[in-house]
Amino acid sequence: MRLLLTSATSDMGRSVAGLLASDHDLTLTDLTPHAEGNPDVIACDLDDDEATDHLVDGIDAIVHIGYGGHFAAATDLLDVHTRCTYNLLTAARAAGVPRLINLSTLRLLAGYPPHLTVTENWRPIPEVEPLMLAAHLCEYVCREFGREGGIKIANLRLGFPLIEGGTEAAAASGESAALAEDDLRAAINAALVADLTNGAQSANSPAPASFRTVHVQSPIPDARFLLNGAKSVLGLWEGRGAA
Amino acid sequence: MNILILGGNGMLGPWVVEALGDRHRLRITDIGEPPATTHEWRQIDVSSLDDVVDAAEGMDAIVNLSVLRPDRRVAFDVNTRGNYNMMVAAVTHGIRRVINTGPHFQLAGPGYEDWDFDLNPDMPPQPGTRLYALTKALGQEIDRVFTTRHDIYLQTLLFYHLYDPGDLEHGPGGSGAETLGRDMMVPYSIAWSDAGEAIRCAVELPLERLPSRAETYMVFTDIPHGKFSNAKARRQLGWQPRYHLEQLWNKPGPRV
Repeated sequence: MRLLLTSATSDMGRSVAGLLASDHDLTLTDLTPHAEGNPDVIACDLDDDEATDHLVDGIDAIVHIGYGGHFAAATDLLDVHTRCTYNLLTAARAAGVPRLINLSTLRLLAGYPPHLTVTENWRPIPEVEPLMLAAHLCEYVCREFGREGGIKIANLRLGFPLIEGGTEAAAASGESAALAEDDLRAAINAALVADLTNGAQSANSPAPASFRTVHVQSPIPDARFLLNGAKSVLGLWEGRGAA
Repeated sequence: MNILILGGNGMLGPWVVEALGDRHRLRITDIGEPPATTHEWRQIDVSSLDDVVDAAEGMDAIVNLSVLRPDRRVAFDVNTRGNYNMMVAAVTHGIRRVINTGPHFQLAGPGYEDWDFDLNPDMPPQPGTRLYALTKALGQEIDRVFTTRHDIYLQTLLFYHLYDPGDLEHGPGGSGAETLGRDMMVPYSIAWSDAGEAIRCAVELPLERLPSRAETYMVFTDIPHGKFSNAKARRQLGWQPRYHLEQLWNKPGPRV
């Protein structure tokens, strides 16, 4: 599958690129200041222009870093996660790109006490600090595009921290919301092909939901977040994780 | 009350100044040229955090009338990040009262308006992807999130078509758009002066009367279509339209 990965030179972008490189034909892109000096990365500022249109041409799916990309001042963070995401989605929808995966964060729900059975149906409670606010607004933009249709959007809220290795490593980390890199790779690969209407109330509608949020953390005992969506939408980790 | 007005020299600004000017001390700001005014004036760019924070010093309330529609970059700069800058300014200076404005479809987008009736300001926003609607909706969401973390009271007033009641035939805002008898040009309409008066009501409403720290109102004159509801604006703000604009939905000629 030919994938476009945004914020590819960020730490999160490099991790994701490393996880997906063996399975897919990756096109890496980043904003010009970050792409400079990286010959394998296409510089694109995700403006409302032909460069963005060209970037998405022929792409099968986009993996968009909606949180954890480049840390920057509030102005830049909000701009990248609202305007640039809007431009990217507008260009992708016009070009017929069938799917976008937004990599968001479960930190948007970290304000709930850990004893609560938090699922995808719980309202995000972001902080006002720019990093979290930007992630929340990025989801907002994606949701409105998903609501209108024309492109399928899987909004994966990722656990934290990201742990090298597999589920066992995440369990050994002592972090209740940890996400192992192997589990992240499995989730992204599943989200690239999953029927996003699985388990949706509109599943049998002629125009079913084209936006689904899925919580993705490693399926470890006493996990902080329930994995209902990963099981029903992505077909992952049935019988594992928090009950 | 000391009131900072952002976007104060746009189309709605003069009507807000007229409604507030004799009762409060105003600091009018805009990116454009200064208006003819006796109030304090500053030329600022609402997309500049420093500009907005500086302008808010010493103020008791902020009224945000700033808006930019067609250009994508500037629309996000003004309609979205401008709200972030406003809320940071409110936190910085301990300003508890913030009045925001926008079009009704930043809340009731086509997913509502094309289908439903009795649309009201307490519905969850569904702006859709239209640039103007979505950028303003993102701004309102920023404001709302700030009210969950700080002691700030946000009131958002949603308008759409604004008319000179003595010149209805030239369309909303004197745009020249054909209006009379055109159904979708009518349902959300108000006279300029009534819009300014609604903002005055929000500015002067005691904060302890607000049911929450983020309240939204649909503000338009009484129109018998049942599409939208202005009941909350009437009830909570104590606002009443002076102009009913009934020529917009009455057929010409004698009644039978």
